Amino acid sequence: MKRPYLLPTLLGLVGVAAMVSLAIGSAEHPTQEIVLGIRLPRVILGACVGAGLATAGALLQALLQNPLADPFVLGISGGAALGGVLALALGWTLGLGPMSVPFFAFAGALIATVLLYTIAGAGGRAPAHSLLLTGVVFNAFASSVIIFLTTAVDLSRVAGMFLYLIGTIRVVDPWVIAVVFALLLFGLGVGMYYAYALNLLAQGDETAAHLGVDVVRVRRVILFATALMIGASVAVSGLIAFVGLIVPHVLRLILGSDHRVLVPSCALVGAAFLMLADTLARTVLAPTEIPVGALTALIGGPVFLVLLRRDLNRWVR
Amino acid sequence: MEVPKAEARIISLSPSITRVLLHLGAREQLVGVDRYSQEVSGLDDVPSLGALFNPDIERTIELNPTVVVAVHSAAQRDFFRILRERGVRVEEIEAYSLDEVLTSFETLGSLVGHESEAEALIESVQLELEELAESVESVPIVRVAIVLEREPLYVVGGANFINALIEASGGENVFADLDSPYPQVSLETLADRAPDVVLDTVFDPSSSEAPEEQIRGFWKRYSWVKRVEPLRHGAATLPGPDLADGARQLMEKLHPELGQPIER
Repeated sequence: MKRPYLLPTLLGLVGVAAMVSLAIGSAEHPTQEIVLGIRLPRVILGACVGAGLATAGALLQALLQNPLADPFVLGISGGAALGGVLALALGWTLGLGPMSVPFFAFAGALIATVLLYTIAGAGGRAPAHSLLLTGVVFNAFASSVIIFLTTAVDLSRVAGMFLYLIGTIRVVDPWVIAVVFALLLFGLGVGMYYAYALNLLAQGDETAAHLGVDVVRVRRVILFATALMIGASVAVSGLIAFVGLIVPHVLRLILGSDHRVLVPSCALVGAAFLMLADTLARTVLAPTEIPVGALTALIGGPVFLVLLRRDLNRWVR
Repeated sequence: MEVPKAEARIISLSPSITRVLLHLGAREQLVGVDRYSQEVSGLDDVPSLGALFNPDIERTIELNPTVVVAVHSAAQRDFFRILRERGVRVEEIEAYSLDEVLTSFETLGSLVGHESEAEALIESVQLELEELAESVESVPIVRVAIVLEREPLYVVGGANFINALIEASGGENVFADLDSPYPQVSLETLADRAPDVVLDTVFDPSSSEAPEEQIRGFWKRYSWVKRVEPLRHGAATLPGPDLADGARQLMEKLHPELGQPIER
């Protein structure tokens, strides 16, 4: 696609997705109160979370020089999930009411990121393989603790914990949406600022360093910026699978891997994708809702395998 | 080997089943209960076998029961199988609608040889519900939604005995058409069905904040919620021998203008 048409096309896509999402729902007689009070906040939050996850996925794939990286691979999500589930299981509230779970999840994400950087940092260099390995181990640890908690707590809390882990877009207060949006904008801004450096980083650490990239600094800043985005997304909506993997991969196939184009495109397409997926989740079995994370996994798994197979074929030839 | 019913050694693994058994006069036959039954019914001298969904198999066998009664659950299939292999009769109760709950009273009565008590209980529940329904016949019907969990949102559906209690107490369940005892619905559907009152069971009774405040704190952000009241888990939400009391509690919530209904 020609560059000048790309931005209007993607913005149009987001607009159409938002319109469709607002127009469809489970209510038979959608009043203004239902559309503006329940649907709209959910559609906006879905857009922010989708954009955050897809952008974070693209940034981490570049940072770790690994196509399999997604927002949940580094243990940041494990930390968030653990924080959220601890709050749910032990009934911690700090007087925050329904916002206590997101608060503890976000705190968990930040603690996990600091731990990750301290352990895998290797004197600030934070090599990709040690970040990945530490992240995988931390996630495994977090999920063991979570499973332990689900067996130890009162049964009535388990449904909520389960839903949280699968990932679902909820109706939250406007100020929460504002916080998530602000963190998304910050992460996206950082990603775009370092987009060219990420292009060079794809040539390998040494080449990038020779070309004048401060590899250590880029890695550290990108890591913490993505942690903020991932922490915010997981805090409000749990672990929504595959968005951070599929969207960047599909866009890389279509647009190539210039991060100056790829990063903002991921944000827009990720937003449109999750809005539509959540609309499906709200309506397919109405009046019952499916957790959107189950739906994205259902779509994402097969799509990813097809992409992988194409990639492998190309690799072999 | 058939054990005479009066000598049956019973283990109950559900607080509601335990309450029914006690009501039927089977106190002496109970040799073990789950942890919650112990708390709910104050059975300190009856051994506890642990929580509902992971009872201690060794303790259970050690108590040498002839009958184990529990709520039907796929998760406990292995537990039940082990007991059955050892000749223990396992009765799985699966009762959602009012008819099923009343039939379960009959089943429990015959398990412990207290058939006439069970029959009397069923008759009195039916009679009291009918009388209550007659007493609110002339009162305008209140449309209600009962919330059992908020996130995800679980409500009382048409196939639930609580639905029948709502009807007996001069109400109409806005989710009566959903053919499931505990359907999960979207918030949007709840708004769309526009109940006159939302009865919410989700609050922490031990909190320093009153249940009313806890619940209003959650629902106040939705302007379409006309009236919201806390509903304590108990007679109105658990299938025990005091179903009629539950219906009266619902009536107080639905029709506060009528004042306290007369206790029988």
